[in-house]
Amino acid sequence: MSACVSLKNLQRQFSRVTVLQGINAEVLPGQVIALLGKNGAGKTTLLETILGFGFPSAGEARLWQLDATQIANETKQRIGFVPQQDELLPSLTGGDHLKLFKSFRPRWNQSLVDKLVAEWLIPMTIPTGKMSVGQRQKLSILLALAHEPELLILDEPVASLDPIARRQFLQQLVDIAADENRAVIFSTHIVSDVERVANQVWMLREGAFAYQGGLDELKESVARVTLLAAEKFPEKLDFPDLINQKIQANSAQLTFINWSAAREQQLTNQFAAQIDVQYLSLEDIFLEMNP
Amino acid sequence: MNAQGILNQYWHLILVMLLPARYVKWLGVFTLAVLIPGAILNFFGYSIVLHLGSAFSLLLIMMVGMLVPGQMLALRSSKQFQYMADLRYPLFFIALGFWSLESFWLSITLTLLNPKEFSFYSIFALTTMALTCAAVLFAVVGSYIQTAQGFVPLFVWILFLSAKNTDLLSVANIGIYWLVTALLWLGMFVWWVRWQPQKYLINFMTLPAAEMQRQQANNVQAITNVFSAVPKTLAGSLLAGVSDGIQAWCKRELGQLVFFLLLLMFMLYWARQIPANAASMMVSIYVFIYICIRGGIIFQSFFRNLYRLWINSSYSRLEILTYIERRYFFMLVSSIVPVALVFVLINHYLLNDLLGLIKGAYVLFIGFLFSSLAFYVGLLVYIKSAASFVLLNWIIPIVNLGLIGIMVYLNILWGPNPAHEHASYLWFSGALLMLTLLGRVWVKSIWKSVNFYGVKN
Repeated sequence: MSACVSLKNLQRQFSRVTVLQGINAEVLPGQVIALLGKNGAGKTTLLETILGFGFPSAGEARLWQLDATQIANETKQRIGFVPQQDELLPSLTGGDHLKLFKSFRPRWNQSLVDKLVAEWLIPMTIPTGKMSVGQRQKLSILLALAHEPELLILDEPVASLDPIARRQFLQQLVDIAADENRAVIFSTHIVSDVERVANQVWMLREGAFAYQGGLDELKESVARVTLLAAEKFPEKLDFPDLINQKIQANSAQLTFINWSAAREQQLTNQFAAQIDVQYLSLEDIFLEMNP
Repeated sequence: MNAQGILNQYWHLILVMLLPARYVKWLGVFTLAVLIPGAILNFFGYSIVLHLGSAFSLLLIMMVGMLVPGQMLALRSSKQFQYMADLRYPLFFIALGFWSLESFWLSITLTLLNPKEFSFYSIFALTTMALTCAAVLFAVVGSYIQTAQGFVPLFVWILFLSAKNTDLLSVANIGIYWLVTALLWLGMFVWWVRWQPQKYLINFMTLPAAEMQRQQANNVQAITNVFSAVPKTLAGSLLAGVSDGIQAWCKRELGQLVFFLLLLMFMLYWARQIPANAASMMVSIYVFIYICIRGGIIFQSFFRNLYRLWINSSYSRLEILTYIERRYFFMLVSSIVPVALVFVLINHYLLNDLLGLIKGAYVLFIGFLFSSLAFYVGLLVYIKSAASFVLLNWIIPIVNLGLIGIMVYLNILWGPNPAHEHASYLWFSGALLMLTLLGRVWVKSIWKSVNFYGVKN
């Protein structure tokens, strides 16, 4: 199966500030990738570079083996994109936008459009300039879904949606995910949403991936270990894959990535301590990995 | 894609480009509703309705002409539309087609008016070149500095004034006009195809009024931020929305003065083309409007920020009224005085007393009275409308236009010199002073139960 997106040593700089540094990744059909990261981690820059809006400072971003900055109309028709802030025309109504987009899309699922307009309560006769942010967000998502793209890229799509609309949108993503020929990349701050729909996680920290892989693997590989020993712990412990530590006298709380039973045995033996291992939720993992 | 599909795409794009807002669509419908019966009536010898329809059609195409560059930039720079299709070529050809048709239509209208029996070909060539120049400037300037688009008509106007004495409609120039037009469109095409938008350039003319005001406030805030410095008091800075320190005041007033002088220079350049008495009238109107606008800008900040004083100051409700009165008049006077002083010097040394002393003083006085009345009317709007900014921006201009109408009727500012004949001047300013005092009494009587609001757009 060929990759929709391939990134090789991707770098992006803006006037001496490095926003992306050496990103390597591939996106395969069937993958739903959640892009996580703190504000300013480089999520929007990464998504926009994947889409070819800007040129990489080094490395390459390819869409179906084509240079992302050089893609033609045929490739664009295979992609759906929702920017962080909508860029719709304020004087046009929702209906006007749909008509215009429909005229330029060779493929158009009208029944999906009708269904989502009714379910998401998107006003069709109000100019978008007079819509609420959430309504515009829903319209933007609809415009990105209507031509059933093979690759859907969404930059914080649920930020302005109410909980009901968010659930409906996530259900739509689940439906898309069920189609093994399509891929989704979406950035978000709402980590609980990721656990509902994503099967892959890209965690971006200071322009580089802090984690890149399956969601289940991530949850199984990060563990918080509480040690209670008879003697005092040293002020600082040094272990491979240790990402966080809190030490108070004879009690230590350590967070590891790449956790394994062998590591548990090693700790027990080394400190002669009582050990308690706790697997974390994605939100806790995110907080541990982004101190 | 088949021909029907392409036609469908172009049809939708044309609608989006040329009729992007409801008011333009309604104007289009209205124009047709006047033009069609006008054409029928013209057939029976009644031409007035057709003339009216033609006037509306000119208004319509000029309005559309103003909207088209903004729509081009918005469609091209929106990331969502970039992923819909490559719109560069269709947008360019629609714009080219529209402006060609617009210049053709304008030329036919001008030729039919036939004031000096100019040739259609020279009018067509000149109109096409002028419109192309304006259109290209709008698009190119707007793509880099959107707010600078407002200066394009001014620039084209200066160009026109500069060429006033040459024989613009000479048949000998036709070839040059077409050559310049072709070069402009060629340059525009090359630039347009290569241009990489850095951000979404929203078309301000299609924004709803409330959003437009919000953006305008942001722009003003961005400019005032440049002139910021250490604040003197918390209440004063919160109320004005900018630092109230002396250093910030100096920076701001220096900027205002430069702006005032630049506009004055332009006025005087223009005034050279017209008789001296008209020049004196224009300068007095300019100074008067300048004062009113300064007052308006100061008050708008107060209107937006008034609610902050309640929680961030130690003043009671009535003390807040006294405080904002004091601040408003202090800021207004400290804003007018530097400009007035510089103007007095320019008027005496460079303009040979174009504006007499008494008249100049009266202009300042009447401007100050207008601003004072607007202040109290504005406060009444705040109280009665729950701080509706939209209503404020309707009521104050209506009040001011009504008063200006009375000034026109009484020949004030452009009539006899008040040094010689001052009865109407005294009546008018006396009445204005009374109105201002009444406004103050009214505001004070209801201020004790005022509700403070975060401003609605």
